Amino acid sequence: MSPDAIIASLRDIVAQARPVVMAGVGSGLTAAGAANGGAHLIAAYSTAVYRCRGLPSVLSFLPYDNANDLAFSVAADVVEQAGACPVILGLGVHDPRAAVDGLLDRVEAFGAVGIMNEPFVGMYSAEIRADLDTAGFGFRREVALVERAATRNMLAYAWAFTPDEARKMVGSGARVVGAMLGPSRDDDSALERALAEADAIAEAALASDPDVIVLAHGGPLTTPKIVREFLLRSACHGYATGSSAERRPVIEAVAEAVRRFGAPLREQR
Amino acid sequence: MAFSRSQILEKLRAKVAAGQPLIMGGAGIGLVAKIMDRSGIDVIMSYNTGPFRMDGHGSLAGYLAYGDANQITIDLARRIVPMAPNTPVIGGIGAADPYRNIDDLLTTYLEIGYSGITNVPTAGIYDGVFRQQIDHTGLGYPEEARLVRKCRDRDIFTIAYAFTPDEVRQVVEAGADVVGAHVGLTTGGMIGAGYALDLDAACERTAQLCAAAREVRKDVIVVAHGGPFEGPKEVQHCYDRTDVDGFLAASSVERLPVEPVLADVVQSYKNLKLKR
Repeated sequence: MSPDAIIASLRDIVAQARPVVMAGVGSGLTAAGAANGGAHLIAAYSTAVYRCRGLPSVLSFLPYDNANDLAFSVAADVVEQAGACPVILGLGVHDPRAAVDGLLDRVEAFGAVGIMNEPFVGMYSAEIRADLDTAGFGFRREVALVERAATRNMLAYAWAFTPDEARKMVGSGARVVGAMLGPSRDDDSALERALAEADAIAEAALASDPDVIVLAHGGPLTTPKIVREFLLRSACHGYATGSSAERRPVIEAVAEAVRRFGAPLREQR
Repeated sequence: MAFSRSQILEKLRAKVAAGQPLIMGGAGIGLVAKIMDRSGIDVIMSYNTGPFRMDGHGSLAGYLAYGDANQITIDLARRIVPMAPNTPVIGGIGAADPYRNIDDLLTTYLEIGYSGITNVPTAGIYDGVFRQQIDHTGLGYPEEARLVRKCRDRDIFTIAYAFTPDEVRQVVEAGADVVGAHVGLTTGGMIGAGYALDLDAACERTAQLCAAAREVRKDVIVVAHGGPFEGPKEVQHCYDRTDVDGFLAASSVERLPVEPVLADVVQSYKNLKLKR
């Protein structure tokens, strides 16, 4: 499926006043669930692989694995289980030893239609991002990934933490932008802050390309109720699920099933 | 050959008592280890950022998710340890490793010839929200203090990098033998950090870290590291203004010296005249 065809189908969904849903998955099993639930796009990436293994997903930003190997380790299963739903893979492109084209070749070989910048350096503080940039491992490499994928006619999905990052990514050929919201404090204004943050990113993205699709992720957006409330008021077109449609529902559903199988056989006296 | 904790400490304390500055250095390739050993360096450090640095990349590559940090350091032992028969080689352990039991890892490190442990890669490099996140998920600096404690319990020599007075207190309380007072990534050269404290601010920070360490344990050894301490001149500046016992060099003793020398040598060959 070409990026143009995918964007046209996502635009259709927006035109029907329905939210675009991209499911972030780290296993074939959860990809099957996401496809079954009608996800419009499925993304497999390293943090999702960690959460499916029961490990903290923040490990994707520490040096104990090759993040790309993690995404590739589940790619075949995810593509298979996704069926007709297009799949994109998260690529970390800061490794000075790995050529971007080689990584993109592997993405295509799995039958995925595109990529996203994950892991991303937006996770770190400004000082570390500056040091990474100086060393040549910074955000610029993520922009270059998007540019290269677009040139190769692959769907480029870009996580952006700021309006400026969104502008750069869309200017380089990103067709879908994930507005990454800051960690939320549980207070009354969390939703208002998330709206302001996400809409600033969406406006910047849409100013660069009016056809771009913007999905919100993170911050207080953890339940269908909150996400609905958010999307009714936001310039974003949909939601990118994370732990909210993978770790949490899986743990709850499995726990409930085990509990039910373990229910007492007769009434206690 | 491996050295015991008491052997290492005895030698370091004798130099401190004699008023001689300690010099410890990171080696990312065997050749550097060999030269350090022959030059009489006090301690050699071996950890995952070294090979990145000596392959021409920034040391920070060792802090991103593109490799198994502890496996890199395990593999590095066979390249560094045999090159340094007269020097204790200290191996870096990433204490957040989700796949390895730290006690088993310590046993492995001793078996492959390391004489001590340091906390590299360290969570101290990170700050802000990310740092809070890893500190609260069992992947942060508290794990490094626990690593130091385990080493102390097993009588394994430790050098602990610390970036703040609070981190210094954590590792000295845990029993660290040496504190590497870290003032940020080393600047200078072709791939150095672009951002650092100025020299006087770095000395001031070093003095604070040093004071925090000695408050917990009077005889703890403290060495300066990183930031603008690029060469002997800057380090002398630091010695003149702080009570540190020496210097822990990484980029400044392998990457920075190599860069200009090789460039000069290549240039001087280019300048030769052919007979024609």
